[in-house]
Amino acid sequence: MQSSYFVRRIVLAFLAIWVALVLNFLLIHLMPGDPAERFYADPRVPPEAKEEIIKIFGLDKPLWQQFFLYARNVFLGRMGISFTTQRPVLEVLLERIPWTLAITFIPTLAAIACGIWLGLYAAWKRGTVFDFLLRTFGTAVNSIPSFWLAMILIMVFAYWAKIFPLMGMARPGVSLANAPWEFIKSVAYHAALPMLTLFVLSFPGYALVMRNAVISVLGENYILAAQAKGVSQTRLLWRHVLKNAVLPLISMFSLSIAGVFGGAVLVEQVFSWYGMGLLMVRASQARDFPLVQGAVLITILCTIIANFVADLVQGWVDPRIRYG
Amino acid sequence: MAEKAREVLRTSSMRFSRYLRLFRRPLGMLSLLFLVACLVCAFAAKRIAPYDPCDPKARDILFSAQGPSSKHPLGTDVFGTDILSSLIYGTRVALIVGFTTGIITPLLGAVLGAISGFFGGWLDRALMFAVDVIMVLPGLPLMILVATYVGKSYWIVVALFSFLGWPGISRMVRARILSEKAASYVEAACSYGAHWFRILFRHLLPSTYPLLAVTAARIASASVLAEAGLSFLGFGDPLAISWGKMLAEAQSQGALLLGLWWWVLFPGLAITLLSLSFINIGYLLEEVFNPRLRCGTRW
Repeated sequence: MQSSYFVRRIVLAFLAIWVALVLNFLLIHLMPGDPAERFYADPRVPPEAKEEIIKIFGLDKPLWQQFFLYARNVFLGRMGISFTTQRPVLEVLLERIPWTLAITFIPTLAAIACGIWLGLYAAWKRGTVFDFLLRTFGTAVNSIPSFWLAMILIMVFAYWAKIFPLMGMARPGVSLANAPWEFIKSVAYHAALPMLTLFVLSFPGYALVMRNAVISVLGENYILAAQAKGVSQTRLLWRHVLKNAVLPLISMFSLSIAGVFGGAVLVEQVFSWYGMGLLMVRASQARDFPLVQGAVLITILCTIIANFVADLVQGWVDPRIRYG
Repeated sequence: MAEKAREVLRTSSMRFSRYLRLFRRPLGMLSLLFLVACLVCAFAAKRIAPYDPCDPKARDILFSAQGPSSKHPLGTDVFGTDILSSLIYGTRVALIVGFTTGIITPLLGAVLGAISGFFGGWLDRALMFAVDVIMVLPGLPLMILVATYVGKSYWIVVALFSFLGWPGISRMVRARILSEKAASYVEAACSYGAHWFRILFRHLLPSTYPLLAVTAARIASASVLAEAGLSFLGFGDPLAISWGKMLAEAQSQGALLLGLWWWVLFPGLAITLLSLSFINIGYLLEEVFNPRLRCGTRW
């Protein structure tokens, strides 16, 4: 039934969040050493903050009480104090999220649009050179390390051709406050190569999924009927085929959401693009436990929520899933 | 010659005829050759490598940051380490991670998926719930999280890949078992009193072998990439030489600023080729295991 589908999805999403919380909590407490120390016993944390941290996280209470306090604190946005910056973890994270979205959002959308178009075309021209090239590139691209491609692109476009900057996020001295337009232009200029990397790596995947979906749709009787009716090729592809073939793309998109929020770690590392990914890596290298925990948890939560939304969209678009 | 080979294939009543067919897949055979070459390099690194990349004395300071030459076929890095030798030693970590992950994950996925599909009931529901939950967990952030606590090791990749990878496989295996369960040959096996264990692992599970072969190869290929990525981020074993770490060093020592292209190109090429050859070998294995892809008689 329709409503039970949504209820099931909501329950699943909540349970998934719960499991993520338990895993995170266990990881803090199962590791050798005093878990409480990971919250405050770092020379970088001021001693007067210790009392408050112990109170907020109930570090003197039994473990099960600590877990519920932990869950409650996470939902209230209290994830502890970052060792390195001495600021609340959530505050540090929220500063970085826009930067990650800046380089992941547009390439993902462009890759989907491009994938739909290429997939449709390749399926329609099945068996041609174009189809063969797309399939070959699509399988090969899965084996190319993203950071290596990023380095090669830097080598070609920044070192040899000198079109784009080597790394960084904006020209030093330019900020959103003093010169907003200059700042946006500078960021876009610096973001071009990371975006290109992410786009090149993701569009063939969408194109291949789309191609296979279109091929199976093209064999359906209603396509034959439409052709017999004399529907033009453009209308056939973009109205009759596309609507039915785009479904697997939605579930694939939901799986790539993880990449949109936290998976660009490697590319961010190459370009020194200080987003969520680089934050995670630097926090880990500095043994800033609360910050790593928070960053990973936020990534997982975003992924779960995005998956939930994608499931709803899929159920809304495709009645077979809703009632199946 | 080709005609004769085809004749042999058609009429052969021997079991190995299906292996002969594999020679008609040049890409697959090339990949197999590359993997064997990597294996040889990994086992005999000391004999094959022209220099010892772990030995500081073998570093050629006078020839540091030099392009490919007769003395150093793939050039040297800024420390004067021979890149070819490092590449040869780097096969070890890549192959260990690729093979262990490629074996453990499909095994785990197949057994859990088979049990889930065969028995159904609450066990099935519990396992499939676990699958739904684990499938949404992002891999690389979790690896970083675990590495922060546990320390630097490539076994993190193996452990987390197995943990995050089995759900996808078990979902496929379960679907396959569910559809095969209703087949009449299973009914026949039941009627002559075969034990459930025999039915499950002897009759049902083999139908998933082609699928498992392809996914095992895909997982091995992905884990090679993940290990390289983790090493690149600086979470690899500090003592082992790995391709990802070579690229990390190239990045941090400014290979991109100095234009030392050989230091960037070759390690990445090695990662890509190994990852690709795992995938192609998967297709090769599928052909061995899948009776539907085979022509002629089975035996």
